[in-house]
Amino acid sequence: MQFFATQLLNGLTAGVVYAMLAVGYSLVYGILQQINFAHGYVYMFGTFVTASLITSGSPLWLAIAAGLVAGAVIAIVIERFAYRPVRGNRLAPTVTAVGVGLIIENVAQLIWTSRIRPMPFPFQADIIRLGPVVLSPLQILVAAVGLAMAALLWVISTKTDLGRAMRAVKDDLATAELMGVPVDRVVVTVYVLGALFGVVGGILYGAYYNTLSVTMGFSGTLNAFTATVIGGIGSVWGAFAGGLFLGVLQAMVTGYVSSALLNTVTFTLLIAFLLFRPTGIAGVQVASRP
Amino acid sequence: MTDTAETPKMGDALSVSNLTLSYGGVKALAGVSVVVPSGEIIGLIGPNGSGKSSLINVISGAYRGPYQGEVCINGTDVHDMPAHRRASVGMSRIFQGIRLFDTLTVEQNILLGGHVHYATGYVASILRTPRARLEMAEQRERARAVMALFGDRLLPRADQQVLSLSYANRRRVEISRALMTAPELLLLDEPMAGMNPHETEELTEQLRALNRAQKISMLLVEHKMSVIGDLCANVYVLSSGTVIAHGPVGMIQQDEKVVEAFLG
Amino acid sequence: MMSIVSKAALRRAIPAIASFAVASIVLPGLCGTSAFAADTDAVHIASTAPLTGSAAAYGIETMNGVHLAVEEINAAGGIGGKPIKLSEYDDQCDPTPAATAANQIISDKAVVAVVGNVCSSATLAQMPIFGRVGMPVLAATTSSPALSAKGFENFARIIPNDDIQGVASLDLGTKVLGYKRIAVLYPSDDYGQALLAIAKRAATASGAELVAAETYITGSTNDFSSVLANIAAANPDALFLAGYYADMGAAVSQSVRAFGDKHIALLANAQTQVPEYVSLAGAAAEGTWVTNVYDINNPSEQNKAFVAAYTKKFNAEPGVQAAAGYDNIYVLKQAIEENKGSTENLMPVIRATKHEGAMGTISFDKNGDNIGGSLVVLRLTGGKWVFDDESTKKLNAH
Repeated sequence: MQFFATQLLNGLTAGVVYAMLAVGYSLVYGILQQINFAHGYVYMFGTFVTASLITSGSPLWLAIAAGLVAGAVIAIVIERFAYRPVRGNRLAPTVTAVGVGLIIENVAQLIWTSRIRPMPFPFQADIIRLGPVVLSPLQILVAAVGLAMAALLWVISTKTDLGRAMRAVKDDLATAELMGVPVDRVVVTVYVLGALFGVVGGILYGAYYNTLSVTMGFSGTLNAFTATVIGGIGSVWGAFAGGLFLGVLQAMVTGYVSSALLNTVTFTLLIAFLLFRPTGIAGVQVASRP
Repeated sequence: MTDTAETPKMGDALSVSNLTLSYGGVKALAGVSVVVPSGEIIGLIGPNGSGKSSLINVISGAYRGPYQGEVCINGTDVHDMPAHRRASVGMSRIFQGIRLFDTLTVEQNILLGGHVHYATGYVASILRTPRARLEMAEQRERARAVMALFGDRLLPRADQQVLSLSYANRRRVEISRALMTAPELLLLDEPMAGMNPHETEELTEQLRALNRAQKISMLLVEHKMSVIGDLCANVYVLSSGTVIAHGPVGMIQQDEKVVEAFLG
Repeated sequence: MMSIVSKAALRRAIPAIASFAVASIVLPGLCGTSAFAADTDAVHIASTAPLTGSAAAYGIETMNGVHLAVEEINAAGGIGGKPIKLSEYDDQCDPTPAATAANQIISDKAVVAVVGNVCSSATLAQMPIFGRVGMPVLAATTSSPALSAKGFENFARIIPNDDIQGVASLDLGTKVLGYKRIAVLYPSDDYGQALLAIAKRAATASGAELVAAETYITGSTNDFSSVLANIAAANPDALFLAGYYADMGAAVSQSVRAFGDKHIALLANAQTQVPEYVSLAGAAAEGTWVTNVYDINNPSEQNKAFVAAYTKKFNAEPGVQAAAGYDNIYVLKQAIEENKGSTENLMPVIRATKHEGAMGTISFDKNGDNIGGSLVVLRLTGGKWVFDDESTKKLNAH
């Protein structure tokens, strides 16, 4: 029971981080039906800005704010110069996204080298005991931030004109524009939101696992992408659910089956969902117009 | 957006002069001039493929390609104005095939028309500042007022998904959404299509009421000549991309060229 | 079984670059001809090491150690009165130039042995060529187990191979420190699989139990929380860190939360002995045990003398490469002396040699592998890797 609780907590913690990254994919896919392949690199860059500022002695709040701003600025630049000129085209944005991603990774390597680095953060070595279960204050932080971000997403999507405009753009971009919705502004805001969720996920990741590498832009997003597919690409709640589900599943496979099967299980799941349930557990049918 | 007094089009809700438009070498519109004086309902008729929808699309900004000539809405040349800004100079439209946001409710669809006048920024809206809440409440109040124009057709269905509505009600939602932008000029592309005689009559009355009470100018594309006759003082007849006749309905119906265009 | 061929005859038959096909046709006719033509003035030794290319730094440091030893020996009268004459070849740590160098070496009939090899891949390409003339090769820091597994009769090496180092890391935990319940954390690649197999064998051989074996994917796994929870649940005395330093650093950093108050000793192999491991793992790394092939702080007399001489000559601190190059020449010297000054049939004598060098006690098994008596034990104490004399002696006694 204690072991189960420990693995459940481990899985949920990883799941929240996956969910943060997955939301970034889903937000963008949700309105433009485009997989934002640069997302992983944007979140990596923002996280590295935060990590290097922490290492160089900046106050924590400043480091986090700078990381978020960096992520947002890169998202704005990418949207403006790599995506907007080819919006509406199915293939071109994928190509420009991969190109931009490689540029970001190379720049990051020039600045921070490809060495794996720690990310110092408060409470990393502290533990809390709840009966037989050992908990980290950081796990509580991860859960709290996860809940706060979910609440933010809920407020945006149900309580704001932005959320309404996002859904309208998703349903019918041209009509939304004709009805006076500033579509370009909505789209760039969505990219920024996606980047912010990504950087928040990246900072939680770095803080909790205390290890960052420039290559996490590519490899680290495999789980997030799998979570997105499981949850139903385009559905932000599906991304949350998919993230938590994948995190817990991986912890349980590790705990009760074998850590050697982790990749097998993850990839099998990804392929199975793509083949048999491409709409994910949320079952969202992305509206398409002839 | 203050316009100069010298502009000759002052007083016209819409003035299109000498509009020429080609798709890949084929002329869709050739030197079309149309004026909708402020406060009037002007009819636009013509056989299928005569260029009516092309004209509406150029005016509303749905067509983004190049054209020659001039399109002025409330005295403002909209040549370089992106589609979403045209709503802010007082133009809105409905579509030949109804185009609603299918995943939104009736009320949300209508509220969307109000976005062009939102003063609240995204951040304030997310933070739900008192001003943002106030504006949102005002917008909902306005949306209810717009829905009330259609009696109890829409009000009881405000929270329903638009997909569950009847065709006529979907059309009413679309008109409400356009009205929510507070237009001075409304482009109506066959609003009565697919409606039964009773619904047609009801909508005709509602459009007339809107025109009288709110002084909304309209450009009405319609196949049902009875509707044109009921609502429009003047009519333009398009055929093969040119205006072949222009004048009061009674006169137009006698015009030989018009008869020929419709029968031939 | 390998026939020794007259170099003079070989030179006539096969000029400089000999292909194996040609050699196999020509060689039978040359069998049984007389041994090395004697050069009575000096002991001719050839070296092959990367002096240019990406591994040049290793090769040059190795050669520094070789040069120092040659200088010392010649100043003290040489080997049996004959000075060492060194001819140096550059293998670039690349099989193609390495094969060229080997062909050049075997065409020089005066050479009695080859030293200095740094790269396993380059050495693998050279061994068949040296084998044709039975040239003894005493490699410096090549560490791939594949080299000795091939069964070359003319091969021996100064440092213990990767397998032997792996066994030693585990033996330190079981035989020296007395841990009975061992957990292993290993990467899923070939390197990790090989270390896991070694750990299993070594644990069983020393009467300990492998209670958990958890794996991860290097380069993509950063979340070790679940595997660490498994390890904690298995209640081990010690955890063998059989992975790359960066992954091990991350895992150890996260182990604080997974292990709680449980004290689980950390055993690691040589590649973990880097500053990055310490900076990644943080305070949790304190007390990590490491076995390595050399430590500059080894207080043995031989090492002290070597470090002093090396530092004086090169104005730099010697690393494992320099120590291996240095001991390389001294092992060869001792073998020739034990062979009564003769350079005939040298390899069996080399393999029987037991030498007290800068690295430690060097002796060989039947494959020419250093059996591990020269390994050193270090412990991370106060964030520094500190030589542990007592554990080193205990480990070498086993």
